Amino acid sequence: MFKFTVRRMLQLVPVIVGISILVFLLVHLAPGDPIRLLLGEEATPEDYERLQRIYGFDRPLYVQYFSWAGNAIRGDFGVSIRQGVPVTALIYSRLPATMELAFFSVLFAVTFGVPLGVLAAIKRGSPIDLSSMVLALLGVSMPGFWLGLVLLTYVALNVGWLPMFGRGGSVFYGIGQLFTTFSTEALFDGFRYILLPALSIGTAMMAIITRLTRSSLLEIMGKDYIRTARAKGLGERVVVFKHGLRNALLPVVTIVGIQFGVMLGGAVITETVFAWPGVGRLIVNAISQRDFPIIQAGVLMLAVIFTLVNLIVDLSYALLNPRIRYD
Amino acid sequence: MRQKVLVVLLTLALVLVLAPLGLADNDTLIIGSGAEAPGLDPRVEVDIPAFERINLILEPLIVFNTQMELEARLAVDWELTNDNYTITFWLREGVTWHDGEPFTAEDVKYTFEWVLDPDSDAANASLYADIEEIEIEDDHTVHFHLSSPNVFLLNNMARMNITPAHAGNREDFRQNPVGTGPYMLDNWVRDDRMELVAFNDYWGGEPNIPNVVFRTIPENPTRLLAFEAGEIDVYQGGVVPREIERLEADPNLIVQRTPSTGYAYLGMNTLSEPLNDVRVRHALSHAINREGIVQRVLNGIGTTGVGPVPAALPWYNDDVPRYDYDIERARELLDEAGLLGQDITLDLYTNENLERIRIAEILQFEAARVGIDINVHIEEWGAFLDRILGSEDYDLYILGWSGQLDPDRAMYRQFHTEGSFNDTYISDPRLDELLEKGLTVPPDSQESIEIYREAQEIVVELAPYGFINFQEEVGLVHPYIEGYEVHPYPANSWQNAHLFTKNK
Amino acid sequence: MLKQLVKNKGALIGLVLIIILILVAIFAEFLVPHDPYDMDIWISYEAPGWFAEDSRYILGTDDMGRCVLSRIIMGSRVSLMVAGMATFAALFFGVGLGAIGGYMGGKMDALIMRFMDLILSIPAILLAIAIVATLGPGVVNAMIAIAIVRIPQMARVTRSMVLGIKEEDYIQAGKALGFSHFRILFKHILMNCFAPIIVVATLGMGTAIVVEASLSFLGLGAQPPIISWGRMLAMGREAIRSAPHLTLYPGLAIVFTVLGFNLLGDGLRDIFDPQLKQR
Repeated sequence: MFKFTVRRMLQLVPVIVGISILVFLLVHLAPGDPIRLLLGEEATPEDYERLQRIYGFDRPLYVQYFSWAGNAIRGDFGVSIRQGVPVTALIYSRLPATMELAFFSVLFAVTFGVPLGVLAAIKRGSPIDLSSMVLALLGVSMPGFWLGLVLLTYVALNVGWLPMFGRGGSVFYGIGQLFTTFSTEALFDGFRYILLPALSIGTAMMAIITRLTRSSLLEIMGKDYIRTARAKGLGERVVVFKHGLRNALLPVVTIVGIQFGVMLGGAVITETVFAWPGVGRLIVNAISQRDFPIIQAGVLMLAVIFTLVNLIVDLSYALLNPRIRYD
Repeated sequence: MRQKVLVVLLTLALVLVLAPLGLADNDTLIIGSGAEAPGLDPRVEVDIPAFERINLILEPLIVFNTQMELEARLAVDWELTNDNYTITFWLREGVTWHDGEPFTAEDVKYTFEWVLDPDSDAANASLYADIEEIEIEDDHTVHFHLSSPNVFLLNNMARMNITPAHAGNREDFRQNPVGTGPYMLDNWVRDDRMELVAFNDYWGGEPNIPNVVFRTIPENPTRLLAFEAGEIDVYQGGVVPREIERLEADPNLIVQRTPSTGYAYLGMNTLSEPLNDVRVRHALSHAINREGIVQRVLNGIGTTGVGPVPAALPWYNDDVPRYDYDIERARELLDEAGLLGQDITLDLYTNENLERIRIAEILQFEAARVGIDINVHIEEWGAFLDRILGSEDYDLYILGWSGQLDPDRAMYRQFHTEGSFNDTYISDPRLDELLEKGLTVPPDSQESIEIYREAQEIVVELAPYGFINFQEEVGLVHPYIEGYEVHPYPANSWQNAHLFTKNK
Repeated sequence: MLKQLVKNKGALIGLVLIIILILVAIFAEFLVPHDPYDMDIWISYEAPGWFAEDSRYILGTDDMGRCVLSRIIMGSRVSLMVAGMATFAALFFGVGLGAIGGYMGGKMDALIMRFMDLILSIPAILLAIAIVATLGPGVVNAMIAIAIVRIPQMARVTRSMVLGIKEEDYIQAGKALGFSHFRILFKHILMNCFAPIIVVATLGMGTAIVVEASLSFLGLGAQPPIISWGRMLAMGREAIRSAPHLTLYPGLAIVFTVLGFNLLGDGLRDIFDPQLKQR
């Protein structure tokens, strides 16, 4: 297992190098450059050339890449061209918001997705199955940003206590407050803000989990040992929950892991709709502003997190199911 | 097990319902903004969201008030002397920086010299290029000697906030500036909020509201929802035109409108065939449904475009050729040019701005009726700017100018042969002559007015631009805020925020 | 198989939805009540006909006075075409790469799969945005971007199928008989992977439609006058309160289209899955 982990960690290296080259090429070959944006509409060609020189964009592309990579290896990912702030600081300040949103989207998805899937599997072929499947599929068919707009207009505006935008305090901070000062204010504040964004993003994932739980449970229920359990005269509930579900949830864990990784950067439009200060929005803004250092570091970080989460999923797989061994 | 879950859920529900619903806080002014500021150093920033915030923290020598007149700020008085070759400022005494240091003429000299230094990364150095030397007479008197007369330089100087000589070179100045303004930066979470606190030693007196928070909300509809829900107190810019009637009828909020200093236009590359023929440009101008755009796309916000100078300025010339929306006339002009019925395809570029996209679509539709095919390309702002400024690879583009505070700003860069933003490549000797002469004539003289009136006639006749609409600034404010007045130039919207009061 | 399809209610509903949609896209010109491109700015933002008695427009008019229903009908073409072509391209390259990797094994396999991992580790929408930013906005470039981000999944599925099948006796027998690799791979192996690949492709259609809508929403997809549902959403979203029909109906069009593909894909998976078949 240790060897496996080390090997997987080593595999990260070519992925990181590959992504850095890929992203570097993509953003540098794109039309438009950050100097234009830095200078605005009233700059003269002389201003433009001066700043190109200052930022080193007049050098050949490969020189620029190696100078970037050389610094990156030493942990220096450079300074945002547009904002003049170290990009690591920019990314770290966004990371909690994104992580929290991803966490609660997943939480929402699992809380509703798994029971719905189990229900559909148990009542296979019944109207409950069909309707829960249609519900799930409706969820996965909805673009998250559209759902967000609809929720804002039809829910937030009518309910009154739901905020229209932004992030409150962290929910985790709120939980801490609850236990230290017994004040619910911070917790409530955090929840209010995260509810609709998490709902918009989590709905599609809930749908995926519902489907997966259903099909996985159905598959397991056809296995011999389940038949044996049944033959032994165990109650249906025991069979389903104790023997079936535990094994059926294995693939669900995988998906949750992958989806968590995807959500870290994939919710960009929803983040914009709710003015949520996340990493995705940072990167998309950076793409349109050609702020190379942010794009480079941001995409790299997301890719690394994604790969690490996958590794953790694989490892937890082994823990959940002793029959799988990695060596 | 099931009961336990139920209990937890019920408790949670109770917590959610009983928790306080956010108390009204009269000590904090919450301002909505459409975009985050990249930084807060006035010397390197170029965009309005940055200056919206900077103007609370740092101050220029002089500022434009809501009537677009120059007003004293860090200067108490100013004068043009020596045949307009010298500008003298007398500075306010008793002003201190946020860190307690006194404000002096050194700071003024330092700021402008920094901007003019070719090795600095100042953004708008060209605006101040006519400054040759800055001479300090005493701590509170400073002379700017110019290389050539530029009577409109003052307007540019009104946009340069003074930075401290003793702290301006600090590495983190752009993130954590020291100013003389009524508020100081306290906490900044980018893309989310910027929190300012009152500077109690402000020369103009202690600010009424001790805290100001800027909230960044990029989506126009979301920002409006947040305002109506009372989550932000006031904002200016990006009000959804579609909602304007409903908002104006709503007694619970106040809509303020004023003609702005900007306009939207259709730029025509006069180097490209067949746009090098002025008749084709006139034909396209006739195909712009200005009335429809103003009434329906903008829902009555703003007025139809006439020329490059905003109607509020004394130089404005109403008596120029008009290109009314007239498809028949457009076809006639095309016929005169011998092009009617021929395949004409033009590439039009604009950026993701929804209003511009709509105008592009309307134009595409109308031009097709004249017999001109327009390919619309919507590019990201950076790519778009790079194309227009850095290449000649376009026929048409839709863009806008803001901050047209004087006729020089509104015409020299755009239409002078050597103009830095002459991206229609228009060139006319008489026009060049007028625009150069205008810089040497006192701006309040009849001669100045006449020079620029003639220049406007030439520009409109040559039609490098199809003028689409003059814009209007719209501000939304809750009635419990007093002191806010919509500013024609949105960068200056909050320069008097220290005088606002809040009684929610 | 058709019989099973009819028996599977979900798949049937999905199939019907998709057939309707394809028919709508093909016969769009004949179905539109008005010219979808014809604008009359003076009647913009008109409410849907069933709310306003006097309106000639069933789903109202958009921000430039064009018939929303006609535009939704016409917009089905772009959605289907972009998603279809992108999925096909992704299928072509994904299946090819996955099959080669799985069949050849060794270094080639490792190389291909590492590259797929690389693409997969960047969030799809971010990668698509970056690609379109580089190539320039437009329908074709959006299609390329969607195809690229969809390739790894196809490759992975194909590879795992090929790995499973290539050790089977009949393949080994083919090898012994001296059939060419090409013949074995495409005639014998891929034919047997057909079912799961179809499932993935069908489900992938749904994803592709959402990605297209997202790109168009950001202004990176279809350019005017091409009608795309995502662009309709983008243009209408500002007026979501006073004219919700501009956002609601194109959104529903997307939802039901994607729903159709997902229902069909899910149903096909049930049908193809031998383990589920027995029960």
